[in-house]
Amino acid sequence: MGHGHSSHAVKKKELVEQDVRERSYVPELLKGLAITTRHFLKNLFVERDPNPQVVDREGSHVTTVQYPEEKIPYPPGYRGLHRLVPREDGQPRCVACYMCATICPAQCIYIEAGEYSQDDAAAESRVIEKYPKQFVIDELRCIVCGLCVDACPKDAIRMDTYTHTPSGETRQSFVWDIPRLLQGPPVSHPSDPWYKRGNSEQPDDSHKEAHTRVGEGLHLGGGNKSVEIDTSKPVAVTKFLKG
Amino acid sequence: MTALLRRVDPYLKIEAYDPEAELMLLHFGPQHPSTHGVFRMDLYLDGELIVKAVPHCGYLHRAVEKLCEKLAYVQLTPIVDKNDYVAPMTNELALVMAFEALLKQDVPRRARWLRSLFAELQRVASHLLAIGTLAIDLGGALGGGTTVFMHCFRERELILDLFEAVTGSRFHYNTHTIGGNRHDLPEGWAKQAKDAIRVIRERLPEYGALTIENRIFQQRMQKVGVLDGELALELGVTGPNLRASGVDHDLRRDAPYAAYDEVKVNVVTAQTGDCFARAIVRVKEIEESLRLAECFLDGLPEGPINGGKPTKMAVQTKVPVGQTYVGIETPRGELGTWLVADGTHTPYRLKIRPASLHSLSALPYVLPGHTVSDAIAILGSLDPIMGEVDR
Amino acid sequence: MNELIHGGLYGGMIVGVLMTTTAMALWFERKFAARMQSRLGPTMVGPSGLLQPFADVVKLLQKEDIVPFQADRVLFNLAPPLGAIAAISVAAVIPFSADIIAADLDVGVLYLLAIGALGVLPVFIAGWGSNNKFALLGGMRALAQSVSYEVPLVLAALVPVILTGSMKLSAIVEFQATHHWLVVWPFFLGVPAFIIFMLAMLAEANRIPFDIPEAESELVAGITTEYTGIKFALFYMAEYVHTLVASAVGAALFLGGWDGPFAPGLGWMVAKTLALFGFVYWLRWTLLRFRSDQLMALCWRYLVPAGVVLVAASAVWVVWVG
Repeated sequence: MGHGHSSHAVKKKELVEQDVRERSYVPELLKGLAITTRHFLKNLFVERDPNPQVVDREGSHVTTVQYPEEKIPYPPGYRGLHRLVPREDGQPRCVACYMCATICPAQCIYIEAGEYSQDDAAAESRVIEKYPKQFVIDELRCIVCGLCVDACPKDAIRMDTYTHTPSGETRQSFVWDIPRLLQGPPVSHPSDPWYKRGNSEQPDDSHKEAHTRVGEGLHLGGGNKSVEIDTSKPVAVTKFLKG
Repeated sequence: MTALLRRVDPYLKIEAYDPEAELMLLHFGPQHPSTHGVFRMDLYLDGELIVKAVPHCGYLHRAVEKLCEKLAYVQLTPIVDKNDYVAPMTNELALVMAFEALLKQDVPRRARWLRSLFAELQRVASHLLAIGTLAIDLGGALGGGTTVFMHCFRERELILDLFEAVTGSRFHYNTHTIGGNRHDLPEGWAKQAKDAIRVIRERLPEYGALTIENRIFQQRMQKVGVLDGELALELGVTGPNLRASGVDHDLRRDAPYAAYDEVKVNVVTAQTGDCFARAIVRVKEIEESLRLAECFLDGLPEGPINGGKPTKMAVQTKVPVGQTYVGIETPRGELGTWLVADGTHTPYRLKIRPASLHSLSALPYVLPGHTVSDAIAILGSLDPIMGEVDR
Repeated sequence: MNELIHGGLYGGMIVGVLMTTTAMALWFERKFAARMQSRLGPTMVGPSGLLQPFADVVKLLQKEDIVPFQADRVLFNLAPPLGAIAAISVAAVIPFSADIIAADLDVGVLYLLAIGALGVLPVFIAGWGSNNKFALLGGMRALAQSVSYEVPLVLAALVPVILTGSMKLSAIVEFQATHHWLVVWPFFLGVPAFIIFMLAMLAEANRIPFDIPEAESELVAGITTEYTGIKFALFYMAEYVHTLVASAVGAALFLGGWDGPFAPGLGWMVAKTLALFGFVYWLRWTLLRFRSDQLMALCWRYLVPAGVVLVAASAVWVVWVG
C-alpha cells in the first residue's frame, strides 16, 4: 500500500445531461414506484421477524423495534445507569477517595467521606481508612462518559446496570444516593485489601489495585430493579466547587 | 458563472434597494422544521424571490470553547462529542490529535487504524443522515422524503449499533484518549461490521433511485445554489461542499493523519458546484468510505490500543507550553483544533474550527436570486450541523 | 318535496360514508406508508391500529383553539368550514351506482368543476387571515397553482363530455357502460386526458408532488400553520375528502364508473375509487415535491397545450369517426 494520490471526479454527464426519455419523468418515476412497491409487498406479505439483531432479520424489511414490548439487548460494555458495587457483606466497595468526583467533567458526583475510628473492632478498619458517608450522583447532570468508572481504583463504581436512568417527576428524584445506587451483584477481587487479614496466606504484592474495564463483569439483564424512593426525606445535595 | 456570482452583493443595502419597503422580511427559523436545528435566516423576499439573505447563528451556543478552558485535557473528549452531534467520532479525533501533537505522544498503530476505521464508518453514518434530511427538505415530512429518510436511518442505525458495541454508547462515544483509544473491538465485531457494510452497500442503490436518479430531485437541485470553487475557497468552505465545486481537496489524502497515509484514498469531486453536485458527492463518498472502512477492517494490525496513561486524575496530563493547529477531514469538511497550552492541566485557549460554520457563510452569496423552496434545498445540501456551528 | 327527501337522504348517507371512509383512508395511508418505509405504522389503538384516526380526532377536538394576534378573525374562522363544505359538496354528483346519486344534475361536470374551483378560496382565505407570512406565502402559491391547474382540469374533463355528448355524470358512465370505458377506447384520447385530469386534480387537492401550498419543509405548514384543534382537523379532512372525491370523479369520467362484470355497480365504483386513491398515496410516499415555478411550467408548457390538442382531437373524433 502506498500513498494515495488520486481523485475520482463525478462526470459532468452524470450531473447535468438528460435525454428526452429522462426528461419525461416516467422511467425514474417507475423505478421509484417499483422500490416502494417492493418494500410494501414484502412487508405486507412476509412475516415480520422480531429478531432484535436487525441485521440478521430474515424476510420482511421491517426494521423497527416495538420499543416497550421489544427491547434490543444492550451489548456488553454498555454505559448505563451507575451503580455502587457492593462487597460480599453488602457495604459499598467505595473507599471515598474522590477520584471519580474529581475526574467527572460534569461534576455530578458528591462524596462525603467518613473515617473509621481507630478503636473500631471491625476487621476492615485495619486496612481501609475511609468510607463514603454520602455518595450522591445527580443523574440529570451526568453525561454518561464513563470516566468515573475508569478512574475508580477500587472497582467501586460501575455502569453495568444495562438500564437507563428511570424517569422521574422531580429534579430531586434524579439525585441518587447510596441506598439507591448500591445495587447489583457484589464483586470481589483477590486483591481487595479487606481480605488482607493479619494472618493472610496471600503475599502482599498480590494486593494490587483492581483495574476494570467499563462493563466488565456480570450482565444484570434488562429491567431496572425497583428501588424504594423515600420521597418524604429528600437527599440533601451540597454542590461543591472544584479547584 | 463566476461573474454572475460576483454580482451578488451579500451586504445589499435594503433601504436603498427598496425605499418603498415593499419587500417581505421573512424570519426563517430558528423554529422551523428545515433549518437543521436552530438556525435563522432573515430573507428579504420579492414575491418568492430572495433579494438578500442574512444568516444568524448562535442559538445553540453552549460555550464549549470556554468550558474547554476550565476542564482538564483528559475530561474534554466527552465534551466535544456534543459539537457535531451527527459525527462525534471525528470531533474527538480532532481534539486528541491536537493534544498528542503538543505532547509528542506516540499512538500505537492499531489505535491509528481503529481511529481511521471509526472515522470512515462515521462518515457513512453522517452522509446517510445528510441525504435523508435533504430528501425530507425536498419531499416533506409527509411524503416521499420520509421514505428516503427512513431508509437512510435504517442503515445509519447499523453503524450506530457497531459503535455502541465498541464504546458502550450510541452517540457520545468518549472513545478517543490521549495516546490511543479507550475501547478495543469486542469479539465478533469484525463480522458484525462486515455484515453492516455489505447490507449498506446492497441498499445504497435503493435510495439512489429515490433521490439522485429521480427527475424531480434533479430538477430541484441542478443549477440551484451554484457555489463556484474560487468563492468557496475564499470563504473557507471545505469538505464535500468544496469538492462539489471542483476543488480537489481532501485532508485525508493531502495531509494524512491517523492511518490514512497507509491506504489509498480516492477523493470524489464534482464540477458544477450546485446542490446536485453536493448531493452526488456525498452519495459517492458513502461508497468510497465503505470501501475504506472495509480496507481498515481487513488490515487492522494487532497490538496495544493505547500508548498513553489510563484516565485516572484530571491533573495527570499537563501539556507543555506551546500552540498547535490540527485539522482533520470530518464528514462536513475540515474540523480544526487550535490549542494554546500554558503548561497546566487545562488548555489556555482551545479554538474549534467547525466546517459547518464556513459552509453556512456561503449562504448570503448563494441564496439571492433563488426562491424560498431553493433556500431549503441549498441549506440542506450544505449539510450544516448547528451544534458544530454554534459550539 | 319527494326530491328533497331523496336528496337529503342520499346526501346524509354520502356525507356519513365519506367521513368514515376518510377516517379509514387515514388509517390506510399510514399503514401503507409505513410498509413502504419498513415500519409498522399505528398498532396500538384498536386491532392493527384501526381506531387510530378516531383517536386522532378525539385528540384534535381537545386541543386549544388559538386565534393568532391581529389575525382577521372572521376570515380565519370562516376558512376551515368553507374548505370542508367545498370538498364534500362535490360528492353530491358522484354516481356511486346507477341508483345511488345524491343529485344527478344535468350539468354535473360543470358543477363539480365549479365547486372544485371553490376549494381554493378557503385556502387563500386561510393564508390571508392567519396574519402569518408563511401562511400568506402558502396561500399565494395555492392561488397561483389552483388557478393554473383549473385550465387543464377543465380541458381534460371536456374530453369525456365531448366524447359522450353529455354533462350528466350518470349519462357519461352509462355511455361507457354501453360502449367502452374511455381509457379503453378511444384510448389515445382517454388515457392522456385521464392522466391530465388526475394530475390537475392532485394539484387542486394539494397532494405531493404538488403540495407546495403547505410544503411543511419550506413553509412550516403553509396555510395551516396557525390552525389548531378542530379547525386544523377540518382542513386536514377536507384534503382527504378532496382526494377521495377526485378519485371517484376520475373513476366515473374515465374508468367507466359503476360498470363492470360479476359484481354490483357500487362495488366496482368503490374498487376503482380506492385503486385511484391508493395510487395517489403511492405517488405521495415515493416522490419529492416540485418547486412552484416548475409546477407552473409543467402546467402551462405541457398540460394546457396537451389538453387543447385533446379537446380538438375529441371534437374531430366525434364528428368524423364516432
